[in-house]
Amino acid sequence: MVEAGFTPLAELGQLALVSALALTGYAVVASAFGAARNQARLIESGRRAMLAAAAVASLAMGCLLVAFVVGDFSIKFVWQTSSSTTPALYLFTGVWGGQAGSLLFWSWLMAVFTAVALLGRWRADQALLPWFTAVAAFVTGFFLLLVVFKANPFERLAVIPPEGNGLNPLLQHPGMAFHPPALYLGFTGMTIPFAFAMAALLSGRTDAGWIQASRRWMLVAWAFLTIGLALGGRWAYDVLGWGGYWGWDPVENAAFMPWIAATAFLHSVMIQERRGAFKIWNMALIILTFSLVIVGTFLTRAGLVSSVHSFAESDIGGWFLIFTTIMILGSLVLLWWRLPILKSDSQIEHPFSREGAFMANNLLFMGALFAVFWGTLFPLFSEILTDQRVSVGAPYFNRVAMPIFGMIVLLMAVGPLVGWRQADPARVGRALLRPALASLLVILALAILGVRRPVALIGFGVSVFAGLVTLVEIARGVRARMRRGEAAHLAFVRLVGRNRRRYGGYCVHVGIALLGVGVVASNLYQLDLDRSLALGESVEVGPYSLRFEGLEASTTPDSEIIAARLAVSRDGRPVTTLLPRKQVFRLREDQPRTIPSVYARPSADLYALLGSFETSPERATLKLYLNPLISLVWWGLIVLVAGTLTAAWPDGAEARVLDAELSRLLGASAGA
Amino acid sequence: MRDPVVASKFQRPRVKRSASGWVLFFCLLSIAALSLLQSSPTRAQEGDPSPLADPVKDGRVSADAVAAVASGLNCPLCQGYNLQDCPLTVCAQMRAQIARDLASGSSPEAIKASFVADYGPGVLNAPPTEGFFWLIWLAPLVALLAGALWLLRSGRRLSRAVPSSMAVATPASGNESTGSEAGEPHPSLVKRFAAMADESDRPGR
Repeated sequence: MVEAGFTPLAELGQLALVSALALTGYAVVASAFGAARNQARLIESGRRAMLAAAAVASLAMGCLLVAFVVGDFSIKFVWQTSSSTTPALYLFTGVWGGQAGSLLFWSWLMAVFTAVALLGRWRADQALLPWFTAVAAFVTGFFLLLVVFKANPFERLAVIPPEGNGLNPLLQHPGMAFHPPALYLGFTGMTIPFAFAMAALLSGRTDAGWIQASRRWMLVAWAFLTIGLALGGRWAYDVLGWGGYWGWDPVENAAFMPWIAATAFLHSVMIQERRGAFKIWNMALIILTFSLVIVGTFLTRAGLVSSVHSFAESDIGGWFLIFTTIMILGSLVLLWWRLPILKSDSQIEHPFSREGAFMANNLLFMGALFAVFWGTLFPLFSEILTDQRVSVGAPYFNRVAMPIFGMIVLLMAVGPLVGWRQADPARVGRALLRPALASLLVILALAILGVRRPVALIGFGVSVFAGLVTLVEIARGVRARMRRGEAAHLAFVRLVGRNRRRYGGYCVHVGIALLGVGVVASNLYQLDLDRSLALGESVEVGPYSLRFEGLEASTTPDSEIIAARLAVSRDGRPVTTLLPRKQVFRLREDQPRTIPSVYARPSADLYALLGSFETSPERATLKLYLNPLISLVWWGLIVLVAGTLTAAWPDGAEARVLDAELSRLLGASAGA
Repeated sequence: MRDPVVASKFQRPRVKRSASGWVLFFCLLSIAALSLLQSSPTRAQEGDPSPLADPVKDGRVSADAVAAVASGLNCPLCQGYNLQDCPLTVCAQMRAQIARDLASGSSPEAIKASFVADYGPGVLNAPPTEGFFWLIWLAPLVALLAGALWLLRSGRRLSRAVPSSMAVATPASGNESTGSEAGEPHPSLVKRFAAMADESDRPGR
């Protein structure tokens, strides 16, 4: 850490911010006029303005990062979210540790994404470029406007404090260093397909071009959003200390809703690519996804819906309301205006077809989305209409949304087997028969082993069925290649390599099936106990026995920690020692942190929390959980992300184009 | 946007408008919590020989029964925590009180009702299934059914509009999705299938 002091970073950053705002404003106007009047020079000027905006936004971002590193506490935001004792990794976490920094981070990502889309060779229709630039610059500009006028991270304090306030201790976790950026990458990434869609509507080029240009962006953004949600769940599990990973909290839902809409889009877009149908619907889904990103930000930033994760309230609510209204109304009006040219090229011939399966998929995803949306906003309606503040928590979502997700998993088993146009039910039935019998056997075995709750049996059965069907499909493809004399592993690699989208998708489906098993097991069969133990006393949790062996105190530069030492044994053999802790930060003594200690096994996690303690005689009050199969939740998510990246990875022909482009760019920069 | 600034879970009351309202609300909650705790021994003593015994430990009440009540309630003091999962000591004491109330014969509904009387309907984890609140439970189901009906109707209209000659299954479409059939196909067929599968995933076809 360099010594704290006054630096000109704030002025430089402020200057960069204002120029970025001006440049995006110019980019909007120049691109739109250029497109309307068909002036190539104006269009190019707009494009370059947007590239320059990305460059100066990067400069502003850089200034803030440097201010964190040198500890310039004269900058209010730096003072608020860091201190000289904040560990290096978490210095940058301070950027999204508050409103102003996260809005800057958001605008910067948005600008960089747009620049990346504009930098490469423009493979989409040329007519889309200016409108794409205008829409993306408009969205970026709005966020920059907020940063400059409403939540400026470069605001100075009148008096320079000697020490920073320190980062909220709950955020000092590796998950928190990567979870918000992953989410923001997902959110801002979803703005790019939206800009493409709007460009298609504005230019009237509504053929498949915009879909091809935006599909991979959507896939990558979706992958980032998934990673963000997964890391958030992991962070909650490791830090929040309630033994779970998903609480159906309003902010979680706000991030989950765009994910649901984007998932629906990624499926229904295949009908448009394949059959030229559903053009209006796909536009609507893109608009919905983007609106949910913005509305989610608005709801949680503006403090309309309260949540554990919310920022301190601020007055950006009104601005967001106006922006959200403009975007939603504007895009719907555009869609309505272009309805005549969004006619389907073909029609759905038979309900029992891939098209029909995708329609069912979209119906269910929209149902799930509505259930989540309704539950998230209901407290607001209730307060307005009845003046009663209710809370809508896990029981609602488990009873209303989970069955719909269950149906989606079931459809996931059947859908990929159903052929386009009109499928043969007998053939599909034959393909499903063996996995169905196997899943019935699994259900029977589970019932014999003592799993008696119907919900659990259905949940396990459906997940196992979906997983098996998908694995059988992959195996079938591998076998077909092996008959040509390829070795099994080569056959698998080539099969996936030749059909990245399909097998990437299957991989995602396998991930969902694993996730399903993990979610059902860890939700329905979680064991939990409260115990107050005196020194030497033991407690049984499932197959484990835990003995309290005393309290241990330790100190770190900025906190004091009390840990309860728990010796864990199984069948009389010691297996591990757990140390659930309470950490009290000197700068924030009112916010003690409860740090769980977890003994993670593939079959189950033993999860211990220290509630309270007494020192003489030593006694600890513990909250203990046994979370069965929770490892499958993490593994399912990893498989899911791997599948998404497989599907998004460029195939051979595209890779050659990209290589050529890269060498051209490198050659150009070497020559210059 | 599960948000970065997770402000103190231990200090955040449910109502958030102004700082003074905040403090007032927290004070009221604390008083309510304290009064509940103070009244607990007297409440438990009626007809209960050993008020301090843990009814879960001595087997009079099952842990699941306590969890069933507590997991339906929010922690009255902090945001977002379930009473069952809240690590606060006060919440552990509330769970113990629920166990004692169950042991002395109170019904889960009565216990929940007493929580609602103390802290308002927001203490329930999900709205009750009554009156206005039916809206939250039924609307998603209605929406899903309406969507399904609409899809079915428009699907039927569309399929009626298509001449029957177009609705014949093409062998390619079946093959493409289910992979090659069992048995020993001719090598050239396999090759053709592989080529077809490669192409089938390219966009714009």
